[in-house]
Amino acid sequence: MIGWIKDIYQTIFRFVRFPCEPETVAIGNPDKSSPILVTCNFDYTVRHLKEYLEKEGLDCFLLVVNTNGTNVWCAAAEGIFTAETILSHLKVYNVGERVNHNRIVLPQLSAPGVKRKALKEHGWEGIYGPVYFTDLKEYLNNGFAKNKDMQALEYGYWERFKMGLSHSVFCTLVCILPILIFASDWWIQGIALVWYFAFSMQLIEHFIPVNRLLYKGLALSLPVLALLLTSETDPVLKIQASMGILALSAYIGFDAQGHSHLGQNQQSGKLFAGIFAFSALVYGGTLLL
Amino acid sequence: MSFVYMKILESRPERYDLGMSLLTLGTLTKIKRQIAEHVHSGNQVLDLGCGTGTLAQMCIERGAVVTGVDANSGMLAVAKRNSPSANYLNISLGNLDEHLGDESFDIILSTLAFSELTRAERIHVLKQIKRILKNGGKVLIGDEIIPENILAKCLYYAFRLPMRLLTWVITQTTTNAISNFDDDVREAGMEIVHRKSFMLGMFILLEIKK
Repeated sequence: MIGWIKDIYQTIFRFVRFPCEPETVAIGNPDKSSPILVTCNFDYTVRHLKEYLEKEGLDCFLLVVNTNGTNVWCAAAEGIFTAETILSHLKVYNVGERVNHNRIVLPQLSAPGVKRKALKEHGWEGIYGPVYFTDLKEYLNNGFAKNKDMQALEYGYWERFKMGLSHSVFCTLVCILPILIFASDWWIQGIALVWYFAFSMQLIEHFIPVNRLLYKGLALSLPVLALLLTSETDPVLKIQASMGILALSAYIGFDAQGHSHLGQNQQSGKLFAGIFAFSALVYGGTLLL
Repeated sequence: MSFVYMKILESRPERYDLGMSLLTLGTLTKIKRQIAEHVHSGNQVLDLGCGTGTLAQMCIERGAVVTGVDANSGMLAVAKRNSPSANYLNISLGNLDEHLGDESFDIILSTLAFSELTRAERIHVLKQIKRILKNGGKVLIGDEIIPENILAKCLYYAFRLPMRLLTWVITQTTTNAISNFDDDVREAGMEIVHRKSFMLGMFILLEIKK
């Protein structure tokens, strides 16, 4: 029950770090030849990984490396999950004394941060395991061999939904104050728009035929703008609301780079700043009318 | 994670000192000054978890030769600006054995670094400190602890939680408190020779010898 509640808030607030105790855990009844698996001390992953390993009866050592609660992918990209941190963990917890081999199974998503050469220089052989830990049983039973499915990163609707939820909550926290200041009479609609953009950026972005997430965000604003322009009669309000929608869609599209599998180097910063400045200027101009 | 938020996190080292000064109501700076008073010209000083290099610079101004160690490359980039004369090692505290020789430092310092470590890591680092420290040298550790006195403990939780939230808003990081640090020091084979408390016992400055 507690795990279920933790799953919900750690999914919603995944932009906050949720660390668990770094440790080296013996799962099942491992002996000196048992495999060593490595992960980060992101509580959500560790709880589910332990549960899986115990359920499948896999005898192994699990190294929960200290990344201050950041997940594997982000920690590797941030440079806080590295060969250096793994070597430090191996040393502090005397892992070498508990096994008769030097092979450690790394999460495949740690590849951007963990240099296997550095591990090798210290006598450890780092091999990348499957992308998803649910393939670990098959991978270990096949003698550390991966098939194509184990190497593929999927971004299915359930994962997109969880990302959308987290991104919506984050964007609401960011946008609530500007919405209350600039659109106090329309704050419910404003927050509804935040959730529409943030969820759509996850759930349907792959149907929008442009590459940059910022463009996808702008494309999502088109039906909302059409609805506004055909239903609202006050010309000043039309312009003000259009600028608000444009700025909001640009922000959420731009910000989605950090929530997406499409990458974080889309070179959209200048364009985003330009759209934001344009919206602010036009909005400011309407105040003089 | 939000892209904008990631960019904010990347700039965290620049705001670290401001956030920590706020969280400790200036106590951290006071502890650092008192630590620096132990340093004399020509001392070989090791600053573990040197962060933004403010303590390293205080020691350099007193004529010491300082080596700063930190696992966070962003923090070291700021430290190199704050204290360019110090030497720096971008390594985890768990890997000191590979980079620092036996009995090579007169004074080993650390502020708010041990509270970032697990108990196993703390004991490992303390054992390394014992190896690296010269005979007759001293270790000075300033860190956050959970007070033992019940009233102080209540005040600790009442005061620290809102302050932590405020600090997290500014720096997206916070401190943790250590408990039973005396046991860790004893297990590493060293001895606490002097202890000073700050802010109702929430912070301590320990002088430790081999």
